[in-house]
Amino acid sequence: MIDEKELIIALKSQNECERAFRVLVNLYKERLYWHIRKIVLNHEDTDDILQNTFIKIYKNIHKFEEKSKLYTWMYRIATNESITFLNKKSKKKNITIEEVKNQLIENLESDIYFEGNQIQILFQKAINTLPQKQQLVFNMKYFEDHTYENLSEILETSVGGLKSSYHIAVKKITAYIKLNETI
Amino acid sequence: MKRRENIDEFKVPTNYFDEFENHLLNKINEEVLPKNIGFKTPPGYFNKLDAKIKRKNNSKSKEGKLIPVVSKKKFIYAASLAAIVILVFSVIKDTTRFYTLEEIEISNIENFINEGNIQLKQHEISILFTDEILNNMTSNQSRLSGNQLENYLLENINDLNALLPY
Repeated sequence: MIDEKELIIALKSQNECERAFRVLVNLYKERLYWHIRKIVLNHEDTDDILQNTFIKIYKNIHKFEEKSKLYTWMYRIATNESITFLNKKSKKKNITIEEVKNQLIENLESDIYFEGNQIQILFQKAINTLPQKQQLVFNMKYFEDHTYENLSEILETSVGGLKSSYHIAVKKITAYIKLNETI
Repeated sequence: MKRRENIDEFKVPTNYFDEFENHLLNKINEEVLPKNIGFKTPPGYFNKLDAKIKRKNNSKSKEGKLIPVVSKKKFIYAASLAAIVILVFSVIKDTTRFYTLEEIEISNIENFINEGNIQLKQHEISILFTDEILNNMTSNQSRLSGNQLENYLLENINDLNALLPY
């Protein structure tokens, strides 16, 4: 078990930062990858955002004030990078983020790194009907199994607010799937 | 004899029983949802990731600082001169042309205000609102759908508990 405090000290020291960074990447690469992938949906974009996230972490670790847990801070950077990516894409194409995500979902069928079926595509469409923040809450709670307390730190929202948001999200998604799966 | 429903030594989390119904309904609803999303990665992707990040980080560091061909000072002089010339010509050329409010795009007005060209205080804005406008605004609220209102609140209100009645 790697002690977070020791890891932060090593990351901030000049001699050990490279070794510590390698440890950090190995510890969090998969978790952050899947977190980003659920937001931007395709592998290539996820790969790009994940690398940028780790580079940002490496370059800004000395600014990390340890007011939150290291992994909370990293998740926040990954989330911001992913949303910034979607915003840039929507501005470039002059369409809304929802439309950008709809295009990404449409592309899933021909994506070689997607092996889901029609129900999973419908599931993505249902998630995309939620407001951006509610999508984050749903994905992080349903797939990643974060506690509400952790989510509260990452998304800077109260535990009560998150619980209501998740409850509403599940209701909306199941209603959407029930309505559309027979069509 | 009355049966004791709870034992003093055992406690439950705050609001456990109030929230139990919601938790249970969520669990039932979740059952119909897929358990995975069908995404996969290229073979060996995570093994090669460290080296990829290192390469990208090094190449970003090596990009270095660009030294401009024209010095900053010279550029400022040239830009100032160009700005003065454009300003003089536009003032001379366009003094007789007046725009009516209808001819100006609302987005241009919004940008003008957003850029801080007009500084209005709250009371200055409030005197522009007549009772009739305020009444119209109130009646317009009823045109918002429940979904629109819910989405707005979820996006903009951090603490949803604040909206719940005690």
